[in-house]
Amino acid sequence: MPNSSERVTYLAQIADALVQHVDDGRIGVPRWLRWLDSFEDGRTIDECVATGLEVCNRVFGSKPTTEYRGGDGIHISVLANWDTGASALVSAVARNPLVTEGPEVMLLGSSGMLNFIRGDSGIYTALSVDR
Amino acid sequence: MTKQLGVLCIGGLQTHQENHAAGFHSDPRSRIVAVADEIGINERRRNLNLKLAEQYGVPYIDGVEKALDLPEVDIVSMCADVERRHRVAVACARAGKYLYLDKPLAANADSADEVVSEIARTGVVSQMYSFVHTPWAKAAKQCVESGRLGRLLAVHVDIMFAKGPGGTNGSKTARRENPEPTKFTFIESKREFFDLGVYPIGLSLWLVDSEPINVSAVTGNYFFEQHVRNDTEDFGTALITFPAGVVATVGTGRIGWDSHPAGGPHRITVVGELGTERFDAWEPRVEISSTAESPKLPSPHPEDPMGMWRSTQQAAGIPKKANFSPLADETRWYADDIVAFLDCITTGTEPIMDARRALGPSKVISAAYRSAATGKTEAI
Repeated sequence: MPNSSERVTYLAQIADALVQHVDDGRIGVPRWLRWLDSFEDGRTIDECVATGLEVCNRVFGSKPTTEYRGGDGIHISVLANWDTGASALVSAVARNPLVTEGPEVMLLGSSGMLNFIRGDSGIYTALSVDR
Repeated sequence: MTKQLGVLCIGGLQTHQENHAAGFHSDPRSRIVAVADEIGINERRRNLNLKLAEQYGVPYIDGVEKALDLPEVDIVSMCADVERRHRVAVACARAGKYLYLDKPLAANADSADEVVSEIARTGVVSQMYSFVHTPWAKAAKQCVESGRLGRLLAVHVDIMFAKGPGGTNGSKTARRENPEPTKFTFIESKREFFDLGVYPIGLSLWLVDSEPINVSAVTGNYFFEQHVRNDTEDFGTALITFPAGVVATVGTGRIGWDSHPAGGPHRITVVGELGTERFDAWEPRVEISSTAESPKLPSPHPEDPMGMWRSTQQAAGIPKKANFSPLADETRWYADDIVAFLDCITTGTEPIMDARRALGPSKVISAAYRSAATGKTEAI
């Protein structure tokens, strides 16, 4: 299992990749993001959701104006809305052995779609990338 | 062989009746006997209805009541325009015919409730088209019912259609939603949260199988200038809460032909205490990359720039995308739904998505429009 600093690195890599592709104009104006993640020992569910929202903030360029929340202590989903009209669904669930290390990401832009495909060994492969 | 069931089609080309009629026509248990619609509809709609009647070599009848009086009519396949759909559905239920209904049931929850009440009063068998008979949705339902993920925590459902020439609206403007939309029928666009949102919302309610409490929603104009022009959303997203903390989230809309290698994201993620499983319409699949030329979206058909209808898709020469080749493709979805409906009629069983269950998505959609307009969570 990756430690918390490895995970922070991994999530930052994902966020960088999303922003890079948006900045390169690959999908037009970013409009909607779906973030499904899992959390494990050492992180709270609120921290897990906050991480997803921080990535959204980077992609959409500001903080959301409205957040709606549902779920309980094991699972939370947040629907967030930005003043530009962009929106996102950020969900987190307690991790267990049947869940592959998250997150899954789908980002819709005005002219295209971007999916982050983690693969079964996602985080371990990413941490081996020499940057 | 038992008597073939006679099908009256209400509505014609450039409605979902194109798919309904093809499904009934291909099943040996049913045959199309007439096409009809209300008296006084506009000339364009009447001409398109006439063309469907010509296609199947059956008479066209002006007037729903007159058509319902035909002794050979057993089933009504009902695809009247959304704005008058509930009125026609009530008349059909009153006539005691089996009802195969376009989705959603009506323009809003109150009108849908009228339809459901009349169907309940007359006791006719009814079914609204939905995705509950697709292989990936059935697999998700089996997963929930098996209990292998433990207590259900959430379902996340994304149903988007990769159709139409996207990328024509690059503005960063928030949509101002109407809390009670009344206009749905346009040539160049439609309300996608209404028309496509019924799929993921219907699946969510079916999978969770309890009464939803609240909904929070956002609608947007993300992809198409045609939708902006007609003040119709091209996308919507919602968070629905249920008892015991269960949540459903949906993302839905028309995202543009080039935004997906197949027909658009169609996937369900089931989250339970013991794990998470995903069910995707395009999985398992063969992925192909080669020197073969990729299909391109041709010039839009002037009567259907968004590629909504089978006849205009064919007329425009819209090709089938070839890079994703799922083992079970989407060409059977309509036919399988109609087979299931005819099975229910012939065996005397209740359709899964009968009018009573189909009321649920209409209630959620109406509350979601209010939420998108007010910026507040709304009770369902």
